[in-house]
Amino acid sequence: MSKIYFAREEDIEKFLQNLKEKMTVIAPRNWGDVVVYAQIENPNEWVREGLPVRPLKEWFFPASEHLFYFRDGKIVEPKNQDEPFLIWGARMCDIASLKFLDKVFNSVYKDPYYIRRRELATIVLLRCREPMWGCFCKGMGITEEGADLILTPLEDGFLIEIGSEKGEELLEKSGMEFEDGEGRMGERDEFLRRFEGSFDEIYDKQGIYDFLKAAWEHPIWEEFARRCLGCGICTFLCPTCHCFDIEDENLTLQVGARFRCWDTCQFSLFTLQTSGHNPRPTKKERVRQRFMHKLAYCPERYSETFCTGCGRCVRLCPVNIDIREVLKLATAQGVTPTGQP
Amino acid sequence: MVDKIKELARSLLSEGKVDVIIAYGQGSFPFRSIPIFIEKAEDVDKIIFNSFCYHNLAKYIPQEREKKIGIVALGCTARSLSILLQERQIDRENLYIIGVACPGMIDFNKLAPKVNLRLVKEIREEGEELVILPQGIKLPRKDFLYKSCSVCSYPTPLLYDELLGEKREGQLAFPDVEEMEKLSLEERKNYLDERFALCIRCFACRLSCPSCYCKECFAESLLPRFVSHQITTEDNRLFHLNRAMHLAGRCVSCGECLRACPLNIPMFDLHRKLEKSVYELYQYVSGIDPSQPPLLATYSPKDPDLEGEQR
Repeated sequence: MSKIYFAREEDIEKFLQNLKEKMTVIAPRNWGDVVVYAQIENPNEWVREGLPVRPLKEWFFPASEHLFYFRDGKIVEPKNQDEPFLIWGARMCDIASLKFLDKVFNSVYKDPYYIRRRELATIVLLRCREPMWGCFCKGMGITEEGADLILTPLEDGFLIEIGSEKGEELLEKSGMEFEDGEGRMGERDEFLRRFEGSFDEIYDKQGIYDFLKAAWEHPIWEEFARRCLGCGICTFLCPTCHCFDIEDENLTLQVGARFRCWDTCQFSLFTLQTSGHNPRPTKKERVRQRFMHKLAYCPERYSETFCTGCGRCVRLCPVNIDIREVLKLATAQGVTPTGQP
Repeated sequence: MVDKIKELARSLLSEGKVDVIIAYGQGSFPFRSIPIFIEKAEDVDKIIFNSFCYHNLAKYIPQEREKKIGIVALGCTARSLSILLQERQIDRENLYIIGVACPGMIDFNKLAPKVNLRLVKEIREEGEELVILPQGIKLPRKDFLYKSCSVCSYPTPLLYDELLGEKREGQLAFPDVEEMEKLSLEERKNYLDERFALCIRCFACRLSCPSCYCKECFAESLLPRFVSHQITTEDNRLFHLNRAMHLAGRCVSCGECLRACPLNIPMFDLHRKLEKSVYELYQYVSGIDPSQPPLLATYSPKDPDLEGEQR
């Protein structure tokens, strides 16, 4: 039975200060007028409310990264992240996405860049006080699995639960001794009860799968496609979307570099072939692909529905293409109030 | 207002004057609208109009141009239509413009600190007030306008077949640009670069822009390659500056790029600066006269010579 701790605000500050001297600390922080996961300078500048706009995946699978450089027949590997780092205050939906991405990058195909960063990272979850508009993580059955430590914000500080050995090691590394938090578990339960009570719908993943397998020509794709702008917001900012492109950029035939960068099925270039043929020629095929991949192909390939209900695509789509409409169509008969499956 | 739009849309469709009406419909939240395409008179009741109808629907003209189009046009939309007419992207006779004098649209993200958007069930508009229900919170409209709406020069469409709503006058002024011009070049660069660093090049700015209709964008060109596909601050800067230059004399400051951007990259500031430069140098305002040739397609020996001057 692992221990439960309680830490006051000032203890957390000291804790982060101590760790910051030993490792890079990434946390939700303000950047201009948006919140992103980025390195923090001060132990009190991390943001506790809301959800960072860019998903956590970028710390494991960056928007672009060099794989190697070449010069005069010699290959040089870039100095990638090779020190342990801390992800502090990540939200549940983002941590859950890593479990899905592990199945892509660390199963049949082993992606050394992703795997290395996963090994180096310790991840601390901050429980959300309430969902944002458009959030539906509980509706997708998302859990806290994957967090090394779990923080619950209470009125006068944070309850700390241990999620893994890595989490325990982090506490040791900080050199801090926290108060015993066992007596405050009641408050945590109340916190969780309120959080879970704020979701209206739970979705039936099998129903969604069955629906999509029969929905190749469903009118909703054309309806979405007609207003879809064809931008990459829904995919680039999705915590589970993982498509990438690999390119060489050569200064000369002797000098150049190979990199990979995020790519998206929403761009027509994504499937454009050298012959000029494009198997997904219009927005309809591209819009459909996004839903099919997440909700039908991934369940087949990885036994997981690749949606964590983070709500980014719902909130950020300029023309309000709402994935929940597809989920609702699919579970038209199966939608039940939370807690009454 | 919305009843008049519906009535007009219904008669245009039933008389066969248009094949499709591009209008606003209800989105999945009370504070969101969606662009809709109405092809049957019996569907016109799907049309809505309120303070959250912010899209510049001229974006959809190239996609729909094989049809006779009816379009609900705000002040900025009408200016975009002018640009598309100037640039021969559509024939005037295939276009029926339902002009709507725009009251200025509400930025729902600005409401978030005041109301829990998750719990909002309805937003009523009573004069200059928004009433948020069920919370019962009352907010003055003017404090929550989009940045582009707060500096709008032409809220009432200049180009229309029918004009609905109460005319409002705007002012051709650039207070926002003047504010930025107080910064040194170094400060401007730092401000922009800090934001460009966040850009993921989802191209929502370009794809939501009615003036960006190139079939192949320079940003996606493979041969020659202008912008690397790597996501770096330098490449992001290159993309945004290049796109801005392509919009000189073509941007109508509708602010659609800024609304579409998930990361609030201030490309709108660049476009506004260009709009001001174009006005000062050539006394040209984009999208106010469809019979004018496009600015960059004209040359006059009297054009100012800027060689050696730093602007």
